[in-house]
Parts: sequence; structure tokens; C-alpha cells
Amino acid sequence: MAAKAPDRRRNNPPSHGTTPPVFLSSASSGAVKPKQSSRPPNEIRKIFLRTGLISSVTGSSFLEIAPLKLSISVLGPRPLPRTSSTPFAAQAILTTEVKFAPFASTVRRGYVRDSSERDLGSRLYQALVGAIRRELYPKSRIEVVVTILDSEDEGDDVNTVYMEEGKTTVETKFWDAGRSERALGVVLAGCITAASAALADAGIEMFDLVSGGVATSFVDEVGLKGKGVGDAVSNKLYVRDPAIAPPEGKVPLATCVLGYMAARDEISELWISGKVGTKNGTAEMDELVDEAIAAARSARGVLNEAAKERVQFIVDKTGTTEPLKEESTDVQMTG
Amino acid sequence: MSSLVVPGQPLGSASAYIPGPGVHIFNGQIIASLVGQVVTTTPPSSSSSSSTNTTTTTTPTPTISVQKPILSTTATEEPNATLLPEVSSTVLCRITRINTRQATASIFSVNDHICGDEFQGVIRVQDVRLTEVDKVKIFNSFRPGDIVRARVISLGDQSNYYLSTAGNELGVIMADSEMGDQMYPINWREMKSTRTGVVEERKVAKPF
Repeated sequence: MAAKAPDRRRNNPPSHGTTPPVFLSSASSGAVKPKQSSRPPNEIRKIFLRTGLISSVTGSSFLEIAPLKLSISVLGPRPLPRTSSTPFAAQAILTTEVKFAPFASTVRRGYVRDSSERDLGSRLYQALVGAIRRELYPKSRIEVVVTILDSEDEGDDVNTVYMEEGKTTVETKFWDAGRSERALGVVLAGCITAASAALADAGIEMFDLVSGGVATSFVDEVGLKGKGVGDAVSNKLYVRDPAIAPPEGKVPLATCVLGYMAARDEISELWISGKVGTKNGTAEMDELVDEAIAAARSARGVLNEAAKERVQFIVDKTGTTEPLKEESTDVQMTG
Repeated sequence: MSSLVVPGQPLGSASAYIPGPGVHIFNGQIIASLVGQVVTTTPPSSSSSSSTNTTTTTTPTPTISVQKPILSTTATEEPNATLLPEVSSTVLCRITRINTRQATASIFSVNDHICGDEFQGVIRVQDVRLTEVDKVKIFNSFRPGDIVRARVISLGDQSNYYLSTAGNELGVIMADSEMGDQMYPINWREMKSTRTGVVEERKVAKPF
């Protein structure tokens, strides 16, 4: 990535933060890998999802999956800007914007959108655009704005460094390969799920809710050293919603992220990165995609409940206030 | 209390219901496209004499729709953010600029609901009134600041909705005189100031 131009408009802190150094004690030898939680590989992490938290926008949602925290605002349908170059839009124009907060990753990010944020934005667009009934909102614009407040992603600088190191010493550093893909995959899946909740909260008509799913395939570290990557098919381990740290003694092969419409059984966005063997035809890829779909199905359950929650609250509230109102009028009439 | 549905949830066969707002049809099924409550309305059993076929006791097909409940406990109506003007919807707008060919207006209400955002519309000189179209002068029909009831005749181009006030019930409903005091309508083309009694020309809407 090209060197970032310094942002002269704001008074910026140091770009890499100023965390005090933490030294390893001499007793522990070697680098410490992050610990893996004792979660079955076919189970996704717990999701916290709530809608309607921002009152000034049409719809909004907030999502938390372990360290990932993001908030989404949906604006519109609003009229197209007068200066827009689009001649006439029979369907609503969807715009998606993903921004990491400067403090969202361990390496401080800039205020200007970088390439990974633009990439996530276009993938989110692709996941959502087919689900929205855009023909109902002609000549208008629907904006989905994502702010990522915290994530496992470490920022472009760290990711690039790891990749470069991996190139020189493949074997030792291989467990770190695909690190950024996994982190960004979890972020994208979270964005998709939360954006659907925000769109539902906005009351924008959709064909189906889109939920995001992510899965990574791992193989044994020892099996990889002697043979090529493609041979180590036997002890393959699929992890749904993977944490950034690989399971003990495993190395990642490929990561799959997708946007899935469960009620229609349709995939709206598919992103596979890593090494997927082609010896058995597309079977390996299909397995990976199926795992990601299963993860998306699990997320859909949470999404359904979150979408209903706010509406149920309104129903309950209007249900309880109506008798109260009658009572108050009664009092007025007697008095 | 009816349970809530989410987008993508099937509600029934497309042959059993007429789809209303908030639903769509996919694979012969009626599918919800909003989060909300399912509402089925059976039309009042209209003239049962129209028994077209051998089935004599045909109940009319109910309309199924999904409604998102709104949190409106007080009388103040909240703006509906997902409301867009459509062709033939009646709108209220405020005139912002005029020239000899058209009057530009800012739409703030669609079908008696307040919009979340204001939309821009134009009333062209040929759409001001129904008769004697070629004698119309915009200057004698609208002034900036007038509140006008109009009908959407086209979604128009990129920026403007095309509006029409051709109709008795359409036209200026509120206007201030040049001196700045309110006017009341005295006939279909004139309004009179409440304070000074000055008469100004407008395309006046018929009061209800």
C-alpha cells in the first residue's frame, strides 16, 4: 500500500499509538500465541444485536461479537442530491460506507478511508443491494453508514508486515497467514448482519434479511511441513466464526465470508481467500461454503429476534398506553 | 395480539390472499418484506348477487399486508421517513421560486403524512389550471411562500417531481399578501388581505 499522506487538517496523535512496552519474562521461551477459547468449532460466538439506538436516523443497529463492536446508521430514502450526475434513478441508489474508528484496531487508523475500508464497503453493498426492494423507492438514496468501534483487525500496517515476514520464512510464520482475512471476514459478516437489522429497523422493504457468515478451514501444522498444502486434506478442521488465533497446532488454509438469505436460500455475496484445493473438484470449496452458510444460519436466528425486539417494544408500549389514555380522559370528564 | 413477522417469512399462498403493502410474492407464496404485524382485511361482502361460478358461497379474497407499528402516543405526528411521493398522490408544498415558465416548490407532506425530507417539485405553466391554459401567468398564480395543494403527475427528472394544480380542489390554500398579512380566498382566482383589503391574484384551491 502506498504511504498515507499526512492528515494536516486535524491535530493527530502518533499514528501507531504509544502503548508502554510489555517485556516477556525470561522464563517463558518463544513467542506466546493468543489463547484459543474452548468453543466447539461448529458454534459461532455469542452475538449482541440491538436496533433503534440512534434516534436521529431512519434506522440503526449496534452489534457486538466478542471484541468486534460496530454501529450502523441507515439514512433515507432521501431525495437525490441536486448536484448528482445520475440522470434519473427508477430504483433507489444504495450507498454503503464502512469506517474503522481511529481507535478500532491496535494500530491507529487514519481519518481518511483506506483501501480495506473501501473494499469492505463495496462487499457490503453487494451483499445488501439484491435484498432491498429498491424499485419501491424511485429517485431516492439509501445510505448505510458503518462505524467499527473495535475489532480484532490490526490495521493495514501490521497486516502487511506479517505478510512480508511470511514471505521470507514461510514455515515459521505461516500460522499468521490469512490473519487479516479472518479478521476482516468477521468484520464483514458482522456488518452484513447488523446492516440488515438496521434496514429492517428503518422500515425499508426487503425481500429477505441477509445474515453474514464466516468459516475458515484449518489443517495440522505437522502435516503441512512435509507435503504440499493440497495433500493435507484428511484432518481438515472447519471453524465457524473463527477467532483471530488459530486452534492449537493448526494452520489456516482458506476463509470464506458470505451474505446469505436464509428464507430464499440465496447467497448475495461470496468472498473466499486462501488456498482451496482443486484436486477433488469443487468439493473442498463447497464444504467451506456450506460451513459459512451454517454460520450465517446461526446468525440469522439472532437477527430475526433483534429485528422483532424493537417493534415488539413499540407494540407493547402502545398496547399499555391506550388504556391509560382512556383513564385520563375519564378523569377529565368527571372533573 | 398478533405475532410479529420478519422479512422473508412466508405468510400464505398467493392464491388465498391479495397482496397489500409490506408483502411481496415469491414462488407462489406471499412473503413479508417488513418487520411488523400481519393485517388481513376482508372486503365487506359486496353484492353477493355476483355469484359468477357454481361456487355460490365465495367469500371475497382477503387482502394481506404487514404494518410496522409506529410509536405515536401523542397527537403530534412524527415524520414518516420512508414516505416518497408517487404519481397521483396529493401533496402540500411551499413555493420557493417562480419564473415565467414554472414555479418551483418544496414538498413537505404527501397524502396527509409529513415527509422526513423535503422533495423538490415544479409546477409548469401548462399544469397550473385546467382551462385556458395558454393565458396562465405564473406571476398571477403563485408567489414564493405560498402553501399549495398539488397532485404529482410525474416523477420527473433527476431533481424535480412534476406537480399539477389543474383541478378545483388544487391550488393555493395559504398565502400572505405583499404587505405580509394573511389573505383569505374570495373566488377561484383572487385572495383578499385580512388587514388592508388588498386583492391579489392566485390560483386558489376550493375550500372544503
